[in-house]
Amino acid sequence: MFRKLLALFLATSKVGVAAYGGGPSMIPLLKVEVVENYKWMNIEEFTDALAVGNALPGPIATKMTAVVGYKVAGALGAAVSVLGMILPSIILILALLGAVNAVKDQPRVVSMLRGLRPVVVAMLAYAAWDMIPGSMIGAMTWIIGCVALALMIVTKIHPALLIAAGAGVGIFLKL
Amino acid sequence: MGTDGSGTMNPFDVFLFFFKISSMTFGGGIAILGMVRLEMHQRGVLSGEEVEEICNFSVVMPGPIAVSVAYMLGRRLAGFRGALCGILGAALPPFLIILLLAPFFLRYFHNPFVKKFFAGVLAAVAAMIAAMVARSVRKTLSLRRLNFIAYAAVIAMIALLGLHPLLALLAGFILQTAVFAGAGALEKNRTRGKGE
Repeated sequence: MFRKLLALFLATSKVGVAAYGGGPSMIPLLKVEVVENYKWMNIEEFTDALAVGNALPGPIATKMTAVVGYKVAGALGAAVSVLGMILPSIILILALLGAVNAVKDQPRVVSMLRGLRPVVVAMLAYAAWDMIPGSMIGAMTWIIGCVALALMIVTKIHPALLIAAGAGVGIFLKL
Repeated sequence: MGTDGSGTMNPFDVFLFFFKISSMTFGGGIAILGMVRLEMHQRGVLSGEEVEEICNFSVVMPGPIAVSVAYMLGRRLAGFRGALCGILGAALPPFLIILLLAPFFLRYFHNPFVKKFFAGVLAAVAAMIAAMVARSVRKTLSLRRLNFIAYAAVIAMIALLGLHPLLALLAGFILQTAVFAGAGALEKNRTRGKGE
């Protein structure tokens, strides 16, 4: 049991540290560990878990690791996996922020850090581009998506309301 | 950003803030950033520029975006304890949701009713992410036109060359720095030329 938990911790912390740009970039890395290296799940189970992770609210990386941990070693496994995902990155963030803070008041550093912006936005744009087609199953969901997008641009409706409306319309769909 | 909190919120409020966002936001880290911007804007405790800077940093930090933004914003709002409370607030809901719902979901996920419900949710979430990302792209590119070079290069490196995001990030950052150093030098030359 201890061995299993240790393996879960090591696998998830490896993924957590290597994943930049959030959920979309960590999913392929997690798949390698879970399906290929440790063989905790087969590819169908992983795809199902991903669908569940996508469908529920909250950060996807954390949810996915919780699902994997739960499958391997129950509630304790889920706790250890989530911890493995979070802890090493917190330590790294602490170190990185420390380094940034030490130099951040020099004007040259400030303008360099501003330069991160287009790079970050590009990563987000690519992640979104990569993710959106996977969330659409069938023509009706594209219609829901386009209507929601138009409403979001034109009105100031809270996104949570639009998502609830999407779910409401979805129930009456023919897939 | 990153400096110890100015006490604008107490740690427990930070916990509640992230707990609420994390348990109600569909669509993962990118969507969570959008909600953080929206909610911070409504509360008005930090300037929009500062929130923007923290959100950008959270994307380039290792680990889940939600955890990074909770750490950095929590620290800014309520010091180190705020940072820890923020992380707890962000990480607890997905953990609890999986524990409570995973057995149910893994069994009923193929039920057509459940499937349709989530098809609707996912479509609306995708729209929300598209709107948010489009807004950031437009804002960033209109801020300085030269930003487009690094923006396009990073997308090309990830999408066409299949470069690891971390490498693309570093290359993009170096490129951006070089472009602006070059533009700055040109500008200086031109003004000096006029002066003589």
